[in-house]
Amino acid sequence: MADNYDTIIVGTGFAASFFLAAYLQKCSSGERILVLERGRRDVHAWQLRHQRSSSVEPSATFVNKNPRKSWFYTPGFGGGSNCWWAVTPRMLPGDFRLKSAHGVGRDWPLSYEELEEFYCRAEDIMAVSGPEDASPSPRSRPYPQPPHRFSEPDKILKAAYPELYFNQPTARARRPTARRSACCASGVCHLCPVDAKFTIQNEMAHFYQDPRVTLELEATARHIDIGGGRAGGVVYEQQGVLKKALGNLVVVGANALFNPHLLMQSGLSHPQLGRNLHEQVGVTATIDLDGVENFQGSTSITGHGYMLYEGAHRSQRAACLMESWNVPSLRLERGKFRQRLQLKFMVEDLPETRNQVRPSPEQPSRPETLYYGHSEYAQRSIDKIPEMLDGILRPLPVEKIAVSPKISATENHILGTTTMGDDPARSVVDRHLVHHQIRNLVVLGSGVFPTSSPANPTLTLAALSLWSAHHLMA
Amino acid sequence: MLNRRKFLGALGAFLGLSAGGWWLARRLKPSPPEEYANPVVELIAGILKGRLPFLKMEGQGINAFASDLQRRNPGVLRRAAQGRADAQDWLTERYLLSSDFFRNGADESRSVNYLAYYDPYQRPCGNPFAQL
Repeated sequence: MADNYDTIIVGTGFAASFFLAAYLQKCSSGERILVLERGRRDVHAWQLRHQRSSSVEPSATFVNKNPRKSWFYTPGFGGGSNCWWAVTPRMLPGDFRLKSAHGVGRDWPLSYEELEEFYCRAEDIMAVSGPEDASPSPRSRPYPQPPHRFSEPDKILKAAYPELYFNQPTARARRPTARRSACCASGVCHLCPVDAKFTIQNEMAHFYQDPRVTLELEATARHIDIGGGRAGGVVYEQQGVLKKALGNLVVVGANALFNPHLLMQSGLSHPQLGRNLHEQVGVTATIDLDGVENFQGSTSITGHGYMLYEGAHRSQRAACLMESWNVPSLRLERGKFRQRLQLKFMVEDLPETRNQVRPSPEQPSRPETLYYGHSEYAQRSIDKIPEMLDGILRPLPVEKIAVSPKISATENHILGTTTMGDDPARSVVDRHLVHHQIRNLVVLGSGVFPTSSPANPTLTLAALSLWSAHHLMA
Repeated sequence: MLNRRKFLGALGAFLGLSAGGWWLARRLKPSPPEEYANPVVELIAGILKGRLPFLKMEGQGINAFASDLQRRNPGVLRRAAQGRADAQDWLTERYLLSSDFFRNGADESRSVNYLAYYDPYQRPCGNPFAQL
């Protein structure tokens, strides 16, 4: 016996929750919405007690064929919001036109200008703190919260690069909100001790208490019923029992591993489905300073440098966003303990079809990642970082620069496996995140990103969910 | 068969020899100014003094820090014992952040006292540098 709903949403992370928030504003008072979450509701107190963000081990939920490359997410209510560092830059307008401006990658099927209003709405929901004086991208209104305090090295870089160096936009609260305390720079943002960063649990849980919403936990979507060119419902497993829910609209908002897997398990196929798995590539550098003390900032990451981001170089090598870290990292030398700066470089990657997600041949109920490595385009940029740093850091009294030869195991971003585009032959979903063939199936999340940009993806994927719901309900 | 008198005699000789041995060992190998509770503490003290030879660090505090480190971050201690420089740097940094060193303006002429293990989950908002 199947239950009937108007809408079925899979997932409770950023993508699903922002969609739900916008959807509830427009749908009727009699709407029936079912939300399926595979994990449990591990509340903040539970997370603090157990020092982990989920009671479900994520690596047990999929098969990783490349142990040298990690993919991380949080299975559970609120998804990645439980473990993120709350870094919320917007993409730049040029990120949406990489192909037409630089001849590489793909253009997005929508422009920055079209998404701008939805960026603002997402920032309002997250109460983002950001720069007051200027912004790397055009804005129609100020950030909801004032910026976090710079460190001393940040101030020097800001003075030298007024148009390229900014306070990092972040959902680590600068001022308390009704439900969160202010950030106090504890430096362990993956699990904030004072619950200062935005999470679905602390700011959006009330949407799931709406009488129109039925939330089912520990409910794993197994496949979507598709027939006659339409999605008719979702079959899910809960406590070992297969259940079926019927719905007029199916919204898939798991993540870029599980969304394509669910579509493939539902009999859908497309040359791009599951392909283009990628994320930004992270590189760190340690800078020893002469006479400049660090770590005065009011949050864990205080500065964003755009010196290696936009420019003609993007036809040859990747854009790069520089982060200035304010977590104390001491220099163990007499009189110089705080004269150290930690930088992180977020390098965009160009998606490649060889990197993919597919149902595991041995265990089809689990997705399997096949990842062969990042692009040459990204690597050329990584190779340039040591040389470029010499010039960029000239305003600082630098004693020594050490760029780590190691690339971060993961940035905890999973991108590109259900690409969006205008051409149904080259993309899985359209500009409003509606499946090209199954028109009552919406696929949310960073899987739809045609290219990564160096910017952290969360704000953009949240804005895309608002954009999608807005157009769906128009 | 060991009678009561022989047993007490043997015990007395054992205790006497042990005390004498301990006294002799102390004479031949003077202990550092501080006394460390066990080899783990000696290891940690060695790392701290190796990296921060210019600081005066009180021994009782190192004992307490070692005990807390063993409890809170045993993995770091294991790697430090294996000679991993990154782990040794990390525990040295953790010791300084757990002490009054930065509260005293990083004054290298003052004795460094251990206060409480630096752990944002135990003492939130304890970052000594952040200007909020």
